[in-house]
Amino acid sequence: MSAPPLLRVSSLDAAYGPVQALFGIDMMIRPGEIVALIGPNGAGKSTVIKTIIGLVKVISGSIELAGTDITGIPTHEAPVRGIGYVPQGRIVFARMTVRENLEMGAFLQKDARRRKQMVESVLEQFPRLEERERTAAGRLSGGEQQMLAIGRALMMTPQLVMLDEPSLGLSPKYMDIIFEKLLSLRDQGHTLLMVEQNAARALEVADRGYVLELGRNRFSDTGAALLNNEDVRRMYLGG
Amino acid sequence: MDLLQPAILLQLAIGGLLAGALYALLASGLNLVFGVMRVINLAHGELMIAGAFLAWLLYSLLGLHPLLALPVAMVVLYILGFYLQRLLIERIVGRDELTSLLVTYGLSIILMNVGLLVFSADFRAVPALQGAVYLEDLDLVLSKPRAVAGIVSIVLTAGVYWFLKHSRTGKAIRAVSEHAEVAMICGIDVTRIRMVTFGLAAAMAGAAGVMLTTIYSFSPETGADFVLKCFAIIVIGGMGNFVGALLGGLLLGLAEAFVSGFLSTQWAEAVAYLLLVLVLILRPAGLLGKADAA
Repeated sequence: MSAPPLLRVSSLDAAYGPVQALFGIDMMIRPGEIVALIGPNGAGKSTVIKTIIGLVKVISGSIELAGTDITGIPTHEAPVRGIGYVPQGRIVFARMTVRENLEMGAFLQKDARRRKQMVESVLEQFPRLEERERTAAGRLSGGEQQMLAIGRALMMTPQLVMLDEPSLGLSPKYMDIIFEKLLSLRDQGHTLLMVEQNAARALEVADRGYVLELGRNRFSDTGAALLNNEDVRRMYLGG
Repeated sequence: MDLLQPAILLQLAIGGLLAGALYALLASGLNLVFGVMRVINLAHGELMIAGAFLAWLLYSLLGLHPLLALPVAMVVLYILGFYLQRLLIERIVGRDELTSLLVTYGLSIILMNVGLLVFSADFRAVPALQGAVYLEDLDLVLSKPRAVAGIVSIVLTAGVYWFLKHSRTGKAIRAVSEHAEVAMICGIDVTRIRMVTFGLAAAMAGAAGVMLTTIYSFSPETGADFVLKCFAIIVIGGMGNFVGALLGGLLLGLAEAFVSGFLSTQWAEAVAYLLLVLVLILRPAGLLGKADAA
């Protein structure tokens, strides 16, 4: 009926030091999908993403990407495994230029000429960044920094792009631009996993969503179905 | 005698800048380590003295000129720093300041005492470069060893600056100093970058030590004076800011030269700390530091 999953998370338990944060999370993403993780604060949404890239320690369970086990990989191996990550709070290297930030996204490409080509091809997708390629990233607006963080995550043409709260703290105008960008990335064939506090907006663009609560799976369905689900509306979408 | 003659001012300024360049080389390494791992390496001065003794040994045993000992000392100190980071310093990255100060202070005591055991507390020097040249047009006397030490320091500091600015590894070092976690998700092996950084800083300290042998006499205990001055320099210039350390080093060199020229050499020893207090009052984040950097 559908393609085999690109990402499969099975019975995942994870902990920050002695504090367990995830309890038996199950999740999968098919190639070309946008999947949203929603839920109240402290539900463990960001923790799921951070566990996938090895920033949070796995206690048990497994994570597979395209059939390969990637449970507990060192974080710096995430790009080799085909994962791009856009951290929460649009963290860019503020004292480095826009171009240097993108170069860091392709750090693993040792050939300087290939690296340059990769920077050019990402800059083409983000004309606003191209205009400001020599500017220190710290001087960009919030929306531009988020664009840069996304561009940096795309540098190694990842199989899966994970975004942690991509719309957090952005102006309504840039929020629209970012969500449109996510849709256009999917249309280009990217697979996206996003964590969003703006659940309504996230479910509008997502193909499917998972609702988490206190580190456990609560609901999962298509984006549209979750938007219309009475319980979800009452609890997470403000009526 | 009128001290405000242009020739004397020029003489003091050139002498100060040359001495300041050596400070800058040493302080830049200290600041680089602080920028990347938030560790103040109190053993930085002993790494410099390790370079100095290496140059002294190579000169006494093999007659090797300090300028030829320079690359040898830099390679040896790089390797030493690389593994010191791996075995010791890596354990204190991300811990509180007290832990890192205690560990590096302990390391400095160990290194100093090994130095005292092996080399005794006698003062040494390497009299390889001597004499002075008189530049008639400028009415300027240049001490040869000071000029060479100053120029080598400037070239090396500028070289490291270029490396950080333009090379792939240098950019990764800057990325790690800004945000280690995000650097990691870019595929940068942060642990390895920290080893390279500490190795580079140790090589710079070692180079400063080699050049030191040609202008000062030194003993295993000399490092301690320098590391305190360097600490003052990086606070003056801006903690973690590479150019700040360069600027702070040159400034201190100039200030010491003018104070010893106009007042006395005893006062010159206090200049670093007077500048430190002044900067902390007027511009607490340092000359090039950002107010929010703390």
